[in-house]
Amino acid sequence: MLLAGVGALWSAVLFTRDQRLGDSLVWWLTALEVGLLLQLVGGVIALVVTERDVDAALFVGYLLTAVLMLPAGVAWAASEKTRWGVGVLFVACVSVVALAERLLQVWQG
Amino acid sequence: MSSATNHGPGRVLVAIYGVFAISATARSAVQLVTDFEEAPVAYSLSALAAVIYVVATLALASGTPTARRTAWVTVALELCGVLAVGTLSIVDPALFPDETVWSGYGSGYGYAPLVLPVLGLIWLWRTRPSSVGTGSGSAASDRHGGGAPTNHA
Repeated sequence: MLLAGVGALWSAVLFTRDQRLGDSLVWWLTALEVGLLLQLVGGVIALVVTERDVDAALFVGYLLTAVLMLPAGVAWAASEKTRWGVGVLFVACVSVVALAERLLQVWQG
Repeated sequence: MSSATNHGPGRVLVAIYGVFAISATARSAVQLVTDFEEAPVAYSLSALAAVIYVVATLALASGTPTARRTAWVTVALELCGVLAVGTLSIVDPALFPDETVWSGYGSGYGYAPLVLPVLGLIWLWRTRPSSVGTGSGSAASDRHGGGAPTNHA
């Protein structure tokens, strides 16, 4: 969640400075994506192990959506050669933050 | 490929629409499958909203003249929907025992469902093909170059 927040801030800064997607943000997003994949694996394990009454379909749905969000954002941003490409990544990162928050809510029931 | 509605600020607009299309569809699917009888009005509206978001997203992303017309219709419908459902949910809460995307003018989503169609209409208006052109989306494609900084999405 924190990673995604920084990703969102980062793309916002690039956007306001009228810059395009650079290597450093790509690395950051890659790290974030790895984190989201780990979250998916960890989340599913936690779901199997837990005694809590968690809505499984909803929970896994959010986990999967979070994993797909950044690749989709990058794909959509890639062919945009202006600052708005980074704007797309901002939207993707904010969405990941929102998804993480929803995941917590679903987990806590 | 480069048509007006899906470039520059439109790129971001489509991304936001995409997020709403996914979340509205997912939410509606869960509601319809799990407990439709509980709130048929709210859940039917959720499904309708989901369809509108999906069509609007695809139309804005494609940007052909036909898609542009589709986008006008769906975005306008979306604005009517959020205004009508928002008002109804406050006047007669009993109709909506469970939330929809549009309840309380989209207050559950930071009022984004209210702002989004307005931005969509402004964007469609700004990128409209000039009357000189044949009505093809490419007539306005030269606008996307530097983006339009004032039309912040």
